[in-house]
Amino acid sequence: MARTKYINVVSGKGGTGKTLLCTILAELMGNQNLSVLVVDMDIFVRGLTALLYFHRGESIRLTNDNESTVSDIFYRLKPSDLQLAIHKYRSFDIAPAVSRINQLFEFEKEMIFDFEHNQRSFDRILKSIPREKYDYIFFDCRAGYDSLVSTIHENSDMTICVQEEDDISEVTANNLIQQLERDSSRKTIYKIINKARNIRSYDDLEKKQRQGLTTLGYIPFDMDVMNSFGEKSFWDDISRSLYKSAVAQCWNRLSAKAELNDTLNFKRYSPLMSEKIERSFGFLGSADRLLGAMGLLVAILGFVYSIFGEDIKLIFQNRPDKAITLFMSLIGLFLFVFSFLRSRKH
Amino acid sequence: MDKDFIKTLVKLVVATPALLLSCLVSLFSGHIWFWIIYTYYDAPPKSATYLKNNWAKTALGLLWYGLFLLPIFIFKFGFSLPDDTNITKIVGLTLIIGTFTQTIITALIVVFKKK
Repeated sequence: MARTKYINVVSGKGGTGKTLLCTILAELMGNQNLSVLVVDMDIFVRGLTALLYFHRGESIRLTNDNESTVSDIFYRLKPSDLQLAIHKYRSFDIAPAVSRINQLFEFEKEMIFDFEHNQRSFDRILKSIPREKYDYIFFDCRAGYDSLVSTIHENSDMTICVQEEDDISEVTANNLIQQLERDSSRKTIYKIINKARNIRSYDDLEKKQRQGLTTLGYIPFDMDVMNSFGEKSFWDDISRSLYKSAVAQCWNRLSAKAELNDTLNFKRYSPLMSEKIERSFGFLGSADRLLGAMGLLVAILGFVYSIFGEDIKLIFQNRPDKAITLFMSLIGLFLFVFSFLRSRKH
Repeated sequence: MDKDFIKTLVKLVVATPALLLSCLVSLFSGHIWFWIIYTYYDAPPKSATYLKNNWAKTALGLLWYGLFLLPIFIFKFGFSLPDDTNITKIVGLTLIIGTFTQTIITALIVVFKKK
């Protein structure tokens, strides 16, 4: 078995979708029989741990007394010889950041960690993970830069920086990358642009994908992800979204660049027969995209058949078949408009 | 297949806009059925893999519209022998009713069916 790869996932600012990206990627890899662990290194936001909390039926306590968490190790809250708590979540494992989802920290215990402390704590985390069991270990870091982010970068095989398309996200991501490169120039930092909105065609996407050696790609903004995050139907909805296939494409690019030899075979079929058309409608959910397109088709066919070459009054007097198709086309038109309005309501 | 038959068929389809349109709409319809099978069923039947190309999707779409063509033909022309002129006359109505029905079924599946 090849050596376990450590992948650090960071972002210049919060809200870029780093945790979600980690989760979807781990799920995709887990479904292809790769063994993946995601460690929640974001002790305060603990988004990944919250996901586990809901998965376990909102059980506040996430660990046993004989297990420790990331925060226990960093704050030395429990004896050092305990195993790191690791829980199964769908097709991969999660190491939670805290023992209780509502855990608070006393201010005096919050220390400004130095690099040595972080290195020791990080080594302890690695020691308490059965590393031989995993093909990949992802570290879901907090947003921005601190000594811990730097330590994990130093100890990882590679770092992925997730950013959005806007200028603020660009500036903060570049600052972070420069800082991390100064700390450890030997490690490659790859970029993924999440929630990309300005992709209007496949050509746009292709052009953007070729920007720079370390850009892994763009993940288009998808309304399904926005609408269903945190809902029970999330994993169903995301399977049909553009998001999952874009994540798989980004990973495959990383796999090729870093010679990881683990490609993801996720195949998605676009309901509109073309992803380049579908991407333009990313502001609609996939169900709405499909219903809108079918409604439009019915509306056009119905209007052409019923109105073409006919006086509208005669349709209702002499041609019941055309009256029916006109009615159907109106329902199609309603469905088309409804699909847009439904997305706006969300 | 006989080359003359294919030539005649292609000539007919190209020369008749209604049939050309029906092929395009059938492709879309067949694709939607394929997409529903592939997306909403955890283990798609093996037949779904045969539907991955455009010819198969068009054939599936034509089959779907065929289900509507027969009753419409009987309703309009009785139990007479079908000929291409009569069929061409009812292609438009068949496409609309077939697409409308498929839209309703698709809407019900995407709204209510969970994977």
